[in-house]
Amino acid sequence: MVALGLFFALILFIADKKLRISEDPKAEKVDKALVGLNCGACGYPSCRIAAEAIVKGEAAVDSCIVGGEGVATIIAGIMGKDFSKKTHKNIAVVHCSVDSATRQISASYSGIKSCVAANLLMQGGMACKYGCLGLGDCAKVCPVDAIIMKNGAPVIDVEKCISCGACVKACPRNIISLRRYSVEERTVYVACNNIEPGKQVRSVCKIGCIACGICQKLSEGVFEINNNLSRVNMQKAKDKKVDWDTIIQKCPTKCILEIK
Amino acid sequence: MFKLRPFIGGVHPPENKHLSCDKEIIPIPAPEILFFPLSQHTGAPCQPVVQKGDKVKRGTLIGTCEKLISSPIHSSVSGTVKSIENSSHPVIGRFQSIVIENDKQDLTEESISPKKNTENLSADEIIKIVRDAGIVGLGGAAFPTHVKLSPPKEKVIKTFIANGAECEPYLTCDQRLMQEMGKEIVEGIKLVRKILNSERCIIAIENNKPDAIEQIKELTRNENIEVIAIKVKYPQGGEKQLIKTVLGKEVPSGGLPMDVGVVVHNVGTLLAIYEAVNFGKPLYERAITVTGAVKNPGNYLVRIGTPVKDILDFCQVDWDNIGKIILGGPMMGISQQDIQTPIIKGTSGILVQTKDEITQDEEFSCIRCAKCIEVCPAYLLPTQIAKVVKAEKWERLSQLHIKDCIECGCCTYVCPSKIPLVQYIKLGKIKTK
Amino acid sequence: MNKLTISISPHIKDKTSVKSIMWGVVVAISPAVVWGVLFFQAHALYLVLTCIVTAVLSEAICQKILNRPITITDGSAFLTGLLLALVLPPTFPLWAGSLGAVVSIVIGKHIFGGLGYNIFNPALLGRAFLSVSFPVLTTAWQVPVLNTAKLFSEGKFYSFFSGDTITTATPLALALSKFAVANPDIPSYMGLFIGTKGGCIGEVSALALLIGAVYLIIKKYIDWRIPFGYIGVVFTVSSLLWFSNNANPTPLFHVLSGGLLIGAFFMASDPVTSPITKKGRWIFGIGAGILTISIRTWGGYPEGVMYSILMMNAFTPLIERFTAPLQFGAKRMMKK
Repeated sequence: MVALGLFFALILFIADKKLRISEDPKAEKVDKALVGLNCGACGYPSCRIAAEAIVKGEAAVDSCIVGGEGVATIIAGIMGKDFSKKTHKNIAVVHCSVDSATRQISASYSGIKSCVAANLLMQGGMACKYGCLGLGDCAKVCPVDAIIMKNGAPVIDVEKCISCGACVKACPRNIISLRRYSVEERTVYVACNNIEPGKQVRSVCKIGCIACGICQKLSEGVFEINNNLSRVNMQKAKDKKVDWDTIIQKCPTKCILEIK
Repeated sequence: MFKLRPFIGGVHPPENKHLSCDKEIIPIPAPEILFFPLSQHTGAPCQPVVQKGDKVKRGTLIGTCEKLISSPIHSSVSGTVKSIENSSHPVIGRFQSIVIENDKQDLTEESISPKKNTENLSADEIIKIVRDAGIVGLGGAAFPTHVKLSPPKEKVIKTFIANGAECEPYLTCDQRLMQEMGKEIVEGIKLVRKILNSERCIIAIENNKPDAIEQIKELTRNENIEVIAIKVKYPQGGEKQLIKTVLGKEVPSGGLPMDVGVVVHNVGTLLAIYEAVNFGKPLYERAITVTGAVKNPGNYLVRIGTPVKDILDFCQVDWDNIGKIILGGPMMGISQQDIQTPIIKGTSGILVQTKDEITQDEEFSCIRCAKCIEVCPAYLLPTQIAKVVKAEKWERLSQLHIKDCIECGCCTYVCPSKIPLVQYIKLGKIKTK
Repeated sequence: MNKLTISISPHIKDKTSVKSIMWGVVVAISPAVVWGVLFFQAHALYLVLTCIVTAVLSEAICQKILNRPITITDGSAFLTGLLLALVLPPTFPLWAGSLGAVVSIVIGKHIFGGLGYNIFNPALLGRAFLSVSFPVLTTAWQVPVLNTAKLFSEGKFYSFFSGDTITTATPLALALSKFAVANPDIPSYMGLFIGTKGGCIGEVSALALLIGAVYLIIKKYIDWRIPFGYIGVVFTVSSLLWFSNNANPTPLFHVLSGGLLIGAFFMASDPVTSPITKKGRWIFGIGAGILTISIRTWGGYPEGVMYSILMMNAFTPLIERFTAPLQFGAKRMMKK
């Protein structure tokens, strides 16, 4: 028995010596500093792989979008590098504001509760082909629970959002986009994605963009109308002084919204 | 004669064909306004060749596309093009459509007239006629027929099967066509056989249509055409399942029937081919079955583009008690959201269900009874696929051969837990594309 | 006109539901229940009722605590309690029976996530728990003194509530003991078939179980592959053993005695805990058969049905993984 025990101990000892994988201790530290959500927003499949890439110098110290400034400072400390502080972050905005009360339906959908599945079947019975279906695929994929479904509409928690882009990919109607957000600037967006002419939009939704052009005139071109749809051009907004409040008020269908 | 062994799997839903199987096909008058979606077939959509305000006649070409897998569209009435706009589409929800206002003159294109010397036409000439007539598979999938008629040279088509199975419950239009237009269908079969140059020619009919079998047997007595009565089983009308039953061959996964030397055409398509060749008639009308909760269920000849509403008004329905309007049969048909949705080339029937008939069972957890596996004609594991889709493990779906699913609905039909398996599979297919 | 409904095809569905399957199995097992209760008398009835009530109550409480919808009407907890009672000795104390029912439902089912997610057959898990915890109680076999045939012919139902009993061993235990050949207590095949012998409440009458089994298979509530594979293998292997040495029990005896029939038709065929593939179900049945005969012949227990089914339950995911069928048209592709 003792001999057998010693024999196996020896095998284990040899195996430990021969098969040991030497690791950069820094990678271990960086991995610990990362958030550990494996959200993939940095472009790497997992936090561990991202940590290795940071240690090798393939990725920047502030690669982790979720961790933001805090994590970047810690990693910069570990790596002995500097990084420039960011003053803003990106957040997800939904370009449609219908909820259970305002969503117009042409037929009642019965089936699995998934936007993608519903969209395959007669556009989920929703009158508007472009708007939010309200079945919460975006909320399901959000790794930090920043999206909650309220009255059949997604509500995004600006504080929680880590701009990983999972919801952008999940939405079958492509109505979610990532937008620059900072406390100093105002974040105004058009909550509609319907590219059909105003008359058709009106027939399916009361709060959709009808491309009337009022916002374009008032903002001197910061709002641009393409494909019967108004969008804010943030590049232009930088140089101009825009009277956001008036524009929001003057929009006839009240589809210009602001994130506060 | 040797005994046919039906394909493995499948279900036996209540047939309910008695509602309409004895009703003769009668034409429905053309409505005031007709909608012609520019995509009525599998393949590339058409481009309109008419403009707003143009005058058209019955049989006038209104949309076409140069791509191989596509099929032109013709007007089914004489009248004026009112607009070209997005409107309801029975399969994809909404699509660009040509709207035509009927002037009730019913003028016909001059090209539609009895043709002479049709026996002398070469195979290529017939294929061109079929293409120009806009003929697609009328069984449901609406695959352009001319493509199926011109297989690549290296594929030898040994067997040609005319599909008279009509396995979908409720539908009876193919049965009525075989009984009333049997002669023309047999002529169509001969035309197709000439094109494909196939040795064997079979017409397969499910044995719940004894009258049709008798009729076709009578008509093919002196022809080299085998009439085969097959046991009733859904989805026997599916090409691959029909080939498995009739010839015992399995079409390779991801392949086409021509890979095993077979081509299958629906009997309605064969009739359309006959009419196109002998009368120059493009595909602008078809037989459909209107059944379910309507006062006058039956088989009707309708113009392509007729809105569902006009047909149901003609057959008299109780609009207040309608729960679901299904274009096609109950197993694979598509429920509609809009009563203005037009009939397109691939529509084989309208099934109306009342509010009480709608099955809206709560989804229960899977008890792994494996009934779905038992009935799956593609030998898949539907419940496993649904679980993987629910868990969003998209990468595992290809191992489960999700692409081989024919969406016949057998699994959902038998599921005691009432899980919408087909919907999960469709969702999975989209995610793995 | 109001809004139309849209949903995915198919638009018609078969009427069979989880509920109808569960209650169908209850109907199928009822001949065995009736026989067991008539034969073993009042205490058996109390035990059956206790197990059912406890099982249903624990299901309700579990679902309440776990915030799941309460589904006690679907019959699955009812069935679990019933099956548990049927594999217990007729004189088993009621308190221990209800403890077994609680274990079946809570540990056997809800720990894994409720109906459809459990790995082991809940009733057998409860039974295994009881075997381990109360080895003496679970092997005390009592047979009524009164001949049941007499009970019918003379209508002496009064003995139902005050029946005298004697303690015996089960036929299987007798047959497998050293003095098997000479033991006069081994009942005749007829006795085994009708069910006038010692044993668990539900397992004594082969006839009653077979009636239920025919019903199950005709109604397609269970897959025939598992019980046929199971019983077929037990029969074949025990034939071989019997041919090699006539002192071994006969194959017919193996099939009719013990819990094989109730195990094969009502436990092993439980869809939740058996593989979903057709091939897998054959393997499951055959594996359980080999294990059963091995335990009976060479193992320490006289009966091996319970442990062999539980062991095969554990192998189910593995079997499933290796028996996934080829899709339509796949064989042809591989030939090329």
